[in-house]
Amino acid sequence: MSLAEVVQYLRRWQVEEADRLADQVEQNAWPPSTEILLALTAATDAMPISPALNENRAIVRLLVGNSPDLVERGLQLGNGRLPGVLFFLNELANRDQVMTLLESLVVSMRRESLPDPSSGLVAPFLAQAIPSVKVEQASTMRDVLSAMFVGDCVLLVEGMPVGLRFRSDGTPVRPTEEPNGEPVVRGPKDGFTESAAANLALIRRRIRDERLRVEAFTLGTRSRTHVYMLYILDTSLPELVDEVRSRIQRIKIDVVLESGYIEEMIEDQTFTLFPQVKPTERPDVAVSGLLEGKVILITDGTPHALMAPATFAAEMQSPEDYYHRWPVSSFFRLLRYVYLLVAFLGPATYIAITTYHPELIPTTLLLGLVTAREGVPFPAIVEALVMELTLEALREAGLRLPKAVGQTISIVGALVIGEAAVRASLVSPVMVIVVSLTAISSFIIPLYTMSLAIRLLRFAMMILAAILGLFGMVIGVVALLIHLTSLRSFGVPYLSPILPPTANALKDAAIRVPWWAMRTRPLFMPMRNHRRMGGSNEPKTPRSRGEGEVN
Amino acid sequence: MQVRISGGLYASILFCLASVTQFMTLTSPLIEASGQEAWISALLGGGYGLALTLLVAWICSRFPGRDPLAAATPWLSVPIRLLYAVLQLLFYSLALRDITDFIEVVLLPGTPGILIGGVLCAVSLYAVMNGLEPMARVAFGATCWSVLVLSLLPVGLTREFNILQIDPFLWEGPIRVLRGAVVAMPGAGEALLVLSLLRHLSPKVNPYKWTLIGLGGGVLVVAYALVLITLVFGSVLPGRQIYPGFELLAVVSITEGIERLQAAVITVWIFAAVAKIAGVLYGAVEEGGLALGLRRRQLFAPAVAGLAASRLWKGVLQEVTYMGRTGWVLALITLEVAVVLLLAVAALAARVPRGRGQRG
Repeated sequence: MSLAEVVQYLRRWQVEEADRLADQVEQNAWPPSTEILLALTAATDAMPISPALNENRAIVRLLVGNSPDLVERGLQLGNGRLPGVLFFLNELANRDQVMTLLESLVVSMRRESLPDPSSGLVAPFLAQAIPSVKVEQASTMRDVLSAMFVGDCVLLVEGMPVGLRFRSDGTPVRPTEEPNGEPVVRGPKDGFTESAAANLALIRRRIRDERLRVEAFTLGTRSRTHVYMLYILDTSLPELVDEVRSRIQRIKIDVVLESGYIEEMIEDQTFTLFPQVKPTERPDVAVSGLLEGKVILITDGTPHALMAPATFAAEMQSPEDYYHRWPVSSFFRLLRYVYLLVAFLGPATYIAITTYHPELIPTTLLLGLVTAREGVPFPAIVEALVMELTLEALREAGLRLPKAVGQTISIVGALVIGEAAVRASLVSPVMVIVVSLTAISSFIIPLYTMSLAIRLLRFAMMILAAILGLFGMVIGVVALLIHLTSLRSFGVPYLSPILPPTANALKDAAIRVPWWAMRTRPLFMPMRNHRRMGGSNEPKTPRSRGEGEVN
Repeated sequence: MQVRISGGLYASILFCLASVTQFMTLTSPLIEASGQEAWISALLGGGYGLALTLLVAWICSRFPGRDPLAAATPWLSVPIRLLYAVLQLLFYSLALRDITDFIEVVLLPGTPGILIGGVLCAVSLYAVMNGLEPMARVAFGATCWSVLVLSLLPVGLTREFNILQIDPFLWEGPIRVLRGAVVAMPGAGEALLVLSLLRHLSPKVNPYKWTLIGLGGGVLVVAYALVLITLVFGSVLPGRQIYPGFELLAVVSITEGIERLQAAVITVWIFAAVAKIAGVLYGAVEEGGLALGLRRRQLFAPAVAGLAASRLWKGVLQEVTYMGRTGWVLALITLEVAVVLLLAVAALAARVPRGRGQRG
């Protein structure tokens, strides 16, 4: 990289701004100051590719800051008379594909004569000559840099005023495996990975329909994260698709590292604990969402796809609900709702009843409770807060610790500290039971973000119960209900189809009816086509079998 | 965009209005006034409420958007809206005080009433600031739970029924029944809230049908509760009890270990009570805001709620509202009838020059 080549590159551009930059580069010390580098970076969107290869090399090196992972592989093309350079970032570009490409360019094409570089025929020629790699033109320095940063290779040739971008599979990704957050006993075991392209393929594998539409966005001025918006043309409502699209296009941020960034910027209401966009790691869940008219957002770099709109009932569903037999699924769904209440109100109810309404407790049980609490110097709220906060700390610690140690810590926390606390009369044994039951109940909630919301709200309910007993709890529940009924996810009431109730949609809310009875998709969901199946799929015994003899 | 509610949500608000406070706080004065036939008094009082609300529904249905006051000249509409807002404010104050007293006495003895009232006031304010729809949905949930609990109530009371204490029909004479009906009338008149609700009711919904279902259902529930109370406690004792409705729940015994459930069952009642006070506050805020020409009426809500909550402190306003029971009852009935009559006049004045209306 030399000063003269950079200045020459800028002068050749023949733009006032470039001349000014060239003057600055010339007048200041080499290497250029941070301000000049930032000005050059800001101008990359319009920077053309120079026909002089050395100038291109110099400016690319300068823009990338001579980074050690920048690989420049010099080539002699067209019977060895045409110099070129292949740029890529080490380890970011797929190694096998780089090798194949280099083999094609260096070995196979060494003796081939290339068309005149200024004729514009080089790109189609190479596309035909190397059919295994997709070739595109890069006309600005921004295109060159963007291509390298996603793991593609860029070929610059002497005399050619454009670059050639060779698509590669990009960054290495982990293989698809069962999602940690949404495991199932029955059902597909593949989960999304950090590669948006691979995730898209997992969905394509399940929907072999050309009406599945994919729109690509690039978010983050620095991260340039690829985001895919998926919907089905004749199922999703165009207004919903437009709304999601416009909310994504509104996002102006420097970095998008995870779908959580997008989630918080496209949801209807920020000041709530409840997720209005459902994250999922499972392709089957994403596909079922697509078929219900939802829009899916796949973000590169995270295995969590987002589904919009989301409802409370949908967040309480597990994918297994649709794979097991319907009575079993219905039972477990109902159980989930019951234990959601336990997770939310369990400790608060204990506090309210023991503090304010002991008459509700059967006499024999009351005597047992009094005996158990004998010697505990603290009121029920202090006991509950200490235990719940300790439990939350253990849970948080369990996430941070290495897996092997984490298990040990959990056992130590749950058994040893609990037992010791009871023996030391810091807490009563009943409180240990209540807190344990609450902890188990919170794991029944399928969606982790919903579980977090319930866990936090539990503390508010405990405080209300301690101050105002059952009255306080009712007030808390009413306030929460008002909040939930006012929530919308892309215009869909968050509590649909429970509130407002619709008979049709209730078939797949708290219970699930057999598949053949769910002829339509949820009617409360905004979509173009609610029909799921045609005719009657109800299984029937063949008539002939009924008339046969029984042995 | 104007919020639209379905017939079911509209009926739920009316149900909560007509049944909640009446079940707990009106049963004692009604039985004291009418004895065993208190249920007839409740039905008669409810009939008065139904007549008023159906008349309002009929008037409203003649106008576009079911809003006769919007069509009337401001000289008429503003005073009527203000009078109506004051009436709703009084209802809110009374309900807030009644519910606070009830909770203070039976659920949280020793807890300052001002704290309980303040919490009720805050949650009703939160409901109003979130708009009509969430409030209506809370009322819907409360209605479903109330109906379920009231349907199951006789199961837990069967062993407590005492037929031998039943007097012959109209043993105390019809005059006492009518006296009881007068006591029941102001509470039933709270359903005048329909004036604020009808403009939000979906245009496809038949207002008469859902008014009958909501308000009629609430009145029937109160009458049903009075029959149960009389069957369990007779016709004298409940008149001496402060909250016979609560005592009724206290004697529920399903089996050993499942008894003394009054505090748990009462949570359903509190649920409905919040829906009721929020509804009444909504009426006061909406009409008051319209009368004063306020665009963002939700900002007006804290002032209205604060004014009503000021009654939680014992003072002049509280003395005024509790001055002589009969005088207070008659004053409320007069105000209710006045609002309806003035509405009729405004509607007539608005229709004469325009000539055309819209049937609901």
